[in-house]
Amino acid sequence: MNSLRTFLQLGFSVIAGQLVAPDVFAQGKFTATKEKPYANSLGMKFVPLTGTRVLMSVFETRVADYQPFADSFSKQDWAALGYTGRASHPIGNVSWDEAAAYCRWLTDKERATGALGKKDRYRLPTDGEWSVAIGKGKYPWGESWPKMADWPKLPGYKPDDGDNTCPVGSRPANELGCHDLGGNVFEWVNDWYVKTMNDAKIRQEDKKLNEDGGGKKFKVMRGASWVFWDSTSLQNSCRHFALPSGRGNLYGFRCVLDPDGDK
Amino acid sequence: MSAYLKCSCDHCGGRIEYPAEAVGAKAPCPHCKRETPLKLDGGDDAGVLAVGGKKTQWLIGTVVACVMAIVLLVGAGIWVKNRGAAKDASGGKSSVAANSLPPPVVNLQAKLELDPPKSTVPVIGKFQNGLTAAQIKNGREIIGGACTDCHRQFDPATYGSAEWDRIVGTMRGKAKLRPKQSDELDTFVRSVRN
Repeated sequence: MNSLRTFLQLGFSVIAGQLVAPDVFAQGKFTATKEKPYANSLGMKFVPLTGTRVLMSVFETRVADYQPFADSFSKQDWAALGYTGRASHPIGNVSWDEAAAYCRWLTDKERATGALGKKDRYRLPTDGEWSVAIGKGKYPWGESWPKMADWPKLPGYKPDDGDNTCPVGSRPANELGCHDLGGNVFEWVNDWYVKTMNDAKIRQEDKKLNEDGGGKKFKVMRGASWVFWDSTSLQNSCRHFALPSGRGNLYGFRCVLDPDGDK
Repeated sequence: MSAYLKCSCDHCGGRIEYPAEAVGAKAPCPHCKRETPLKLDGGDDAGVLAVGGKKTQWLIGTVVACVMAIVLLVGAGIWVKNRGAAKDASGGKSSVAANSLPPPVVNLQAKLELDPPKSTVPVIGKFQNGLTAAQIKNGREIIGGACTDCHRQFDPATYGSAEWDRIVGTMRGKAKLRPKQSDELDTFVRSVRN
């Protein structure tokens, strides 16, 4: 009898799940759709990541988002550093340690104001979550390598000449509403790099990717950066890596909002 | 195409191949040169060989065999592909699918492990590491042009200074870089690497 009840409950929940609009995300105090993202206190926008409990930032973390974090340690002379007019560019030169620290800082900041509950938090996406965001296609835009003439139509994978990054969201979003997953800067994810994350063909082309240091040495970066536009790096399945303390002009990140993440 | 028949020469017993329409006629034997009737031979190897002859028969046989082999191979390929897709959809491990796709979504349910918080003070460098637009443009053209003529792009930040010195030194000759280009590449890579 109990098993029949469980079966009926399961069937009902499946049918109910189908009837509810699947693109609406509502958990705790966060309600968001692709068309109406959740916006936090810094104006960062988050959309539901289908099949997961998290919301993902539609943009890579911008200079404007990062400035209050850096200034909370010591006031920076942003103009002297050349950031004037670059507020909407993705922040680069960020190590994994700094990206993780930024997520903790933002979590604390928003918990203090009540915008986040005690168990809600910002963090770096996992490799799996990032894979969901990019989808299962071969390249961010589809299956085929484009002709040069078609490059301008693609969502920001070859930057404008003379500039290394472009303002986030300069090119169209993907189906989930996320921009620049395959361009601008590399994006740190939470996972440690294990060489089997890259398929054998990619590791054959870049033998450096076989050196995972035992699996707890390097952190994974997904996407591609402004300097990369070759047909291997731009594959959705290609993983790059660097030491957690490593920094490069190419390294940035985006956050996910994880409601009740401590559960 | 004509059908061909075979018979034996009445004089020397040599084998003769002749067009079917010539049956009953007389013709010189190609072996003894004497005239012999072209008759239907009752032997085991007598009779119609093939339309168009023996070569044509072999050719048609070969083509049919090849077509059958191709059909079998294609069928087997489709079967293997469908089997792999079914395994993948059910959460099974398929080496074919795993080689071309990001990790399966089932990993999403794995327990999330966050590293313990580390005390970190952010370091802010100059935007674009102080490179001018021209330096970026030139460096990027080389690393995305001359370098990728032969291999994929490599992340400059993945290699140490000594490694890059060696790589650029070796590749300078292979990519036929002029000294100015070599300097531009070096500046660009070092800046990107910090």
